Amino acid sequence: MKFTRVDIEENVNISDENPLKEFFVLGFKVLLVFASLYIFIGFALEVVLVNLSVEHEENIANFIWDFKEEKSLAESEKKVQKLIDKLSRNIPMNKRHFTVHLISDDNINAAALPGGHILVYSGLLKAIRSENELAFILAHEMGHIVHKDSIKSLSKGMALSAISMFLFGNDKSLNTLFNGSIESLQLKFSRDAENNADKFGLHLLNHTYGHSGGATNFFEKLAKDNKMPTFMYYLLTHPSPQSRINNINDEIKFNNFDLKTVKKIIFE
Amino acid sequence: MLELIINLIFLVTITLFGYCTGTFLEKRHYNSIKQREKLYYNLPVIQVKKLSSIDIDENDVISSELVTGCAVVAPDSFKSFTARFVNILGGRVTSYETLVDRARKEALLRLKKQACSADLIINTRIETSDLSSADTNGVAVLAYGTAIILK
Amino acid sequence: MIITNIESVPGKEILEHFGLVTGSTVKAKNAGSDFMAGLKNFTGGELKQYTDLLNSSREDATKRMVKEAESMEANAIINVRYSTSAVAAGAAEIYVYGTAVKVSE
Repeated sequence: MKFTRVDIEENVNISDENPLKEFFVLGFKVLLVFASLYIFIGFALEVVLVNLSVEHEENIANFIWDFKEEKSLAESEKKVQKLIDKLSRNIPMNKRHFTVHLISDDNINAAALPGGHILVYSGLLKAIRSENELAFILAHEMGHIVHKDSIKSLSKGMALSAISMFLFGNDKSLNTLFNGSIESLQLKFSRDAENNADKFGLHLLNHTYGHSGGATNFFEKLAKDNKMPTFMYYLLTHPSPQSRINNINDEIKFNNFDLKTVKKIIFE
Repeated sequence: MLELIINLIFLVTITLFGYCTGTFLEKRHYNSIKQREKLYYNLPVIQVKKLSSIDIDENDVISSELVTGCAVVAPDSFKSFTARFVNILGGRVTSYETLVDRARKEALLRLKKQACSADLIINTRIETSDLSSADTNGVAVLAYGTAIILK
Repeated sequence: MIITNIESVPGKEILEHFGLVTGSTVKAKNAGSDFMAGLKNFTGGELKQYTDLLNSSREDATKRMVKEAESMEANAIINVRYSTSAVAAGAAEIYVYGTAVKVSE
């Protein structure tokens, strides 16, 4: 049988699309998928969490975290607890119980956890000079709890990690990329939450003491001590001390709050 | 946030590097394939099993021998990254098409090389298998057939 | 030993057949032997290490099949087929099988 060789120039097994163009089109589509998932999860969580009862929240928190008492700080803890109780009596329609937990650590920090638990580092107690200063900081943390900020960000973070695991499987690089970009978005919400907690704290302070003295003292000290340039604060969860001072002062002016002398308090 | 930026820069650099070197190596490979195919222009590689189907008398055969050709090709980082997107959205993974095509052509060329003095190669079979593991991705193609030498 | 992958040996007559003969090997690549292999993940191209691995696996598998056929006193193996699969990370199995026959000289 005769063999006839025929040359085929075109390769039918290869598509002639430009790989770069395809890459960008696909990347854009994938981005759309994430953005819509993120927005959807955000809405869904808001709806669920708004309806979470205080009792439920306290149960969950006690289940997750194991709060231990630091014996060496028991005295100071009682003092701070009294202050918190004084403040919480001035929250209208309050059903929550706030508990303070002192942590022996030189860092100047305080944190709010779901269930009404407030962590205060001993370094913070050493740095403050007046009762009003401390009251404002505690009121700020109470604001976070009342606004359910930490549950919202924790559960959002977990839900998104779960989605990225589901979509990407074990693909490490895409997972970290997705989680990282979510983090930077969360930072913006975190700063808004901080400003709202500052507002809540200011109003609570004013309501408890009759004036707003002492609200900005702590941040003024932070602003003086801290040498970070303003733009770096975009990368952090808290707004810069100066912007917080400005926002608080604006709020004081807006509401016509008084500024009177503050009560001194010293912790060991 | 800084971590994210560093991650992103790393990823983009690797992908771009993969794209540049990948397309260069692929073009070079295809050119070499085209050239070598010219060498074996007249060696038919067919799939029929029986010599009688192509009107060749079995008595004209001097010898018949099994010949094989194998090639393994790996994708570059740009190709595999695009493939991950398609994994989510679905559709054709066009980035891998050239990969498998190259591997197949290369395997067939090596088959022909092993049987260079033969008159034809019959009952050619092509087997593709996936050689992905934790550290390398690859496609292995094995082509084998019977090389016939006629009188 | 004549090995073909068609159903007969051209020009010769099949006298008797002995059934299926097989040969298989599993080989893994040496992780440290080719430091350039790590780069292949980014640049693409042929994995020579794997190709050599598969080639040597195939030769060994074929030798084993031939040995089995010889013990049956066959002198040809027809209708040979190959099968390749990845069984574990970095290891590939080659499986070859055919029909052992005795052909006229």
